[in-house]
Amino acid sequence: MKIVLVGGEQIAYHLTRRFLNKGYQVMIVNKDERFCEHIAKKLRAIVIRGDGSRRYLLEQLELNKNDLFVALTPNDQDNLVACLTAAKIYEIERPVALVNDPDNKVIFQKMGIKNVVSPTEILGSALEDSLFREQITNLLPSSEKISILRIEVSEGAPVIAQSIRDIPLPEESVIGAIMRRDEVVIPRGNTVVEEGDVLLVLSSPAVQTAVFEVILGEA
Amino acid sequence: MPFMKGAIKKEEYYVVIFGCGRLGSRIANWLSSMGSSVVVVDRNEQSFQALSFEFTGFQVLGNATELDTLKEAKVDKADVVLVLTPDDNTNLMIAMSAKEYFSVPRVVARAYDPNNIEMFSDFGVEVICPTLLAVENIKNVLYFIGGDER
Repeated sequence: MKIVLVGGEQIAYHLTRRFLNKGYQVMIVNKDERFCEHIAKKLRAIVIRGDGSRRYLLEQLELNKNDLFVALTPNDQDNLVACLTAAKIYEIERPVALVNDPDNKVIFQKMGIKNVVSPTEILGSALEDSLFREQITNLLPSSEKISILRIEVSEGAPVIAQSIRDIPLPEESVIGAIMRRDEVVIPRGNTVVEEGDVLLVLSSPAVQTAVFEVILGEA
Repeated sequence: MPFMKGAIKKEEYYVVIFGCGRLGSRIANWLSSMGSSVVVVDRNEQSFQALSFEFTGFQVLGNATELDTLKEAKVDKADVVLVLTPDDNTNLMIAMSAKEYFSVPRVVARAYDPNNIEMFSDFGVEVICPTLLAVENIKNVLYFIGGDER
């Protein structure tokens, strides 16, 4: 099995190093002449200079349908066309595309490119997770359309001794369960929150910051 | 407005044009003067200078490879989308988004490279290929000069 990396400078370089070390055969396709020369001198990869979204170039690569084809250019449109063309010529089943605009993921998936990676989204959710305070854990990846939040009610939180019905949570959120010591309490309107409770809150990601503020107070 | 082939018959067509260069701006001016409701999208503000006083439509400044730009241009409401930027790959992506994601009834795109035509048509996009048109034209011109039919 070969690994074909189209475009992308630093990422392509480091991925090549990684896969060569693991014993794979790696092929690099890049438009940039200087980058190609540099790679050819440094790594034992097959280097092809040219536009990897062009049919005539891809036809020369003699790939097999089980090769791993990865498009890493900074332009979503070029990645889309490269993957579609490779899939068409070689019947490559799961080409991988990098998308810069996370919104474009849906488009790629509609066109049959199911393996889509968005660095923007990965960085974005890593950053968001680090913004969260330590009493809070999001049990789902941040890319989902719903958040399941595990929130520890620590000392001084405004919700302590309040009944569920009096907690001014945003519309698009609900307290689904309370874990109190070793028991699970399914909350009703008159259930009173105690210090040390762990709340499982379902909420839409858009209002989750408001949820934190209501339950834990201002940051 | 004359009846447009393949689109629902209505009083006023809503047309979105991507790329306001020499071709895009001319088509935009013409469609607008014919009474269509036209939106032109280009990532370069200066391109809009090519629009004439006849043009009464809207301009959207933005990169059409971002889905948000397509939403801003209300592609979902369009009867016809014309994709006329100078880059084939960009055109492919915009055309496919319009067709597959926004379900636009008619999508016409320009492809310079004749090898790309097949991929456009696979996804139900109609293609104009200036290269092939020029080839045909030049053939005709040459036949005319030669005069001899073989």
